[in-house]
Amino acid sequence: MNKFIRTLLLFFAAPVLLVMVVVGLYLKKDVYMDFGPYPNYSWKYYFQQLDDLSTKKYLQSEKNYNSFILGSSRSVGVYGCYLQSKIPNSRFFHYGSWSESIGAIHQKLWFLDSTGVDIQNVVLYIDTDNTFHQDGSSFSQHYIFTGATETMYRLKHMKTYLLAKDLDYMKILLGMDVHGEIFPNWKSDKITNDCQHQCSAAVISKYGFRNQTHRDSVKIDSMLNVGFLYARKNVPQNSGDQISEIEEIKLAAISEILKKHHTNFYVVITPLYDQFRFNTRDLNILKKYFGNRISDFSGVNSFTNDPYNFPDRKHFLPMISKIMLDSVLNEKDNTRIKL
Amino acid sequence: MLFNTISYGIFLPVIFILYWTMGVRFRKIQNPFLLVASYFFYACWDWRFLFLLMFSTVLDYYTGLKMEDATTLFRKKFWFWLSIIVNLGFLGVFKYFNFFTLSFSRLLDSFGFEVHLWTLSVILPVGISFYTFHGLSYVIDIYYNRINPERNFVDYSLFVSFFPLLVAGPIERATHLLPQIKSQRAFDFEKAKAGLRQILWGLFKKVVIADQCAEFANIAFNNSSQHSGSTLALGALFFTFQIYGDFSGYSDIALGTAKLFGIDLLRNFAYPYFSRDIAEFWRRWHISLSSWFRDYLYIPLGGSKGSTWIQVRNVFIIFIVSGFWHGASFTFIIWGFLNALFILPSVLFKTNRNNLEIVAKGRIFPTVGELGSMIFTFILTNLAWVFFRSNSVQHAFQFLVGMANETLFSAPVFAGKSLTVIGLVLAFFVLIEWIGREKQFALEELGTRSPRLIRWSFYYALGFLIFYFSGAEQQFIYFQF
Repeated sequence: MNKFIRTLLLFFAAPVLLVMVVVGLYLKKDVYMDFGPYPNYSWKYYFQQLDDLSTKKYLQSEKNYNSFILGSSRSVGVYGCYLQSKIPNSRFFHYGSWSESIGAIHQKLWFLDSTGVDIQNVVLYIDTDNTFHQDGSSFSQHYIFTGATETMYRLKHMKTYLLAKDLDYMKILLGMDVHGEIFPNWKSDKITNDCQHQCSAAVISKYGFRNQTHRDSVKIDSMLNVGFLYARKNVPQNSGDQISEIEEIKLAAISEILKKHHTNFYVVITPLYDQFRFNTRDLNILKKYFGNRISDFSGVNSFTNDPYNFPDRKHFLPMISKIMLDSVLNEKDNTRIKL
Repeated sequence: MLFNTISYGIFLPVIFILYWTMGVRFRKIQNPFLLVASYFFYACWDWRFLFLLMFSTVLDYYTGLKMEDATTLFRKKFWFWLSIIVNLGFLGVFKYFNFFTLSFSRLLDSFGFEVHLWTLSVILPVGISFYTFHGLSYVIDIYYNRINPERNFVDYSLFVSFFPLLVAGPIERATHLLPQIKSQRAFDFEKAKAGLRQILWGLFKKVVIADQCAEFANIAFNNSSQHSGSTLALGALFFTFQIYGDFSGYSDIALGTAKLFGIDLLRNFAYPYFSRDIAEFWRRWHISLSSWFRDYLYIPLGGSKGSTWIQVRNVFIIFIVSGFWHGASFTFIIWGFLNALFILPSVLFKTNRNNLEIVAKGRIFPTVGELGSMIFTFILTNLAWVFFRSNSVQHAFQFLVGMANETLFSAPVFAGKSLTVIGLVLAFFVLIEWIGREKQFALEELGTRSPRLIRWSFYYALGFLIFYFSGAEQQFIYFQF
């Protein structure tokens, strides 16, 4: 028996040593930024969840924010630093995420509310294709939302990474260069957490412009030619009914939080390439909870008609966000709502 | 708890170490310990069905004792039939009730009577077909005075519930397993090493061969009407490898695990796809079930004795019952029927025992004739597996018709899948199986005389392939039986 155990230990020594080296490299590289604090939490690798990074950044901050941008990747075009210049005394945090559901938006607002944050301003992006298509379930991964322990959360990250069986993942651990989709290497703003830029006067001055290079235009032309940017019908089409009973409960809960804080909020329904209009039934439900604070840019309009506004079909240019926000901010009273 | 999961990877070493570190003084509790571990293993799947397993165990144990103590033949028969009826009753309720109810309902429907019969909404208890057959063989053997009943309840319970064989066999015999359970076991270094090699090979078969082939087979069998003949033909081929990798892989892990505890289970597979005729195939495929049906059904019916008509009848009965054992569906019955058809010529012409030894024994290559026979037998089994895998009889016929047209010669398409990788993996697998075909399992002696560095490098390579291809785990096919 002893001989057998000794042989087994010897046999497993090499793989165990290899695993230990890989785990050591993983801990050193800390690709999910689990073992911070770090000075900033930018979206560097494709496998990172922006939602998770944003939560980490918020928790590491001094938490003196009073304004929040919530929504899916379409909200990346919302510049917190620009909004700060428009709304007096606002200190924005861009709570970025991918494919954000109404459940996750509620979860974040509930978290902010329960930690005693004074929620003065909120910009909320709602998409006709994402926000209400997930039964209100949240895909937030951070342990403060999932209820998992910190250790289990970190172990889950490690397991996911090390079992990915992707050569690029190993290259990252070994400090080798990786290119392409896996390495977006965004640089977020240290304060506002604006996702794809760092705030400066120069950045804000370019915000309202198309800023497309010749190469970008060629790329879009090519996507038009191959049909990736397909021809739309250009006739009004409604999206199907989306808001489920559970999702309406989440909307009601969001509305309660906003009311409680007398929050000055803007609900923006985003313009999408498919030109589907947010349907009337769902719009009425939104109005029930958000009143006249809703601005609907979905459907066929000048934003959606121009394919050059959609560089990858799923997302629109930051310029569109700027135009929408200008229009919303001008239309509406930018002070806290009185009950 | 599946054999190919992390939880089993923790369970097995813990049980193994506790079992062997009890020391000589505690050898007496080896069997109670293994029994508790086996019940824990079963309860991890669904603890409620543990009571069914225990009830079946108590019934057969008690019946065995009562049959021996019976003073009259009538009493002996009473206890015998009680056990048979209750055991088959459980199997009938859980496995076949809905099938008969729905079939009866459809029959009445075809005569214009619309009926809504009551069906059961229960899941099939894992392993019920296997442990029921364990119990049945025990009771039948006692009835025919082939064995004496086991008086130690723990030993008998372990015979029924020993965790490596509990959920998908091999179907053991009291004459083979009980003596091993009753004897005190000492650690055997060579046997334990062989056990680990068999587990490694079993995992390779399951994770690398079966689970990968399953992805291709699923593409072909799902939406089969949309695929070309060549895609369907390859899909059927992949399923042929899937089911072999899946079930023989499971059996290898079971046998290897049992070896770690000093117990030899019955061999279940002996390289069936190297068979030269269907009779040989059935001597090499799911051996413990085939031999069970041979001993407890085929021979009592008269076997190969009697008139030609009796022989033909017996062949069809045994194969159709075997098909029905696999599941309550006409697809399994037709699978059994087809195998009966395929084996019939060799029974009628008395050639069914022509190929008792493994093909090309002592040689590297088979003769052209042997190769032709193997390919022909392989194609026949392939054809039958189409029925085994299909969702319905209609689906199976559609699949076969879809295969047999001019698109059979077009390039197969499995969207998003590389045929090169799976082809290389299958070629490696067949090569290793061919090299090891004269042994109990392919890795039994392969490389054992090589230097440790080479031997271990080969095992590491297999381990790496298992790790690399893991992640597409599918449940063992035979768990549903």
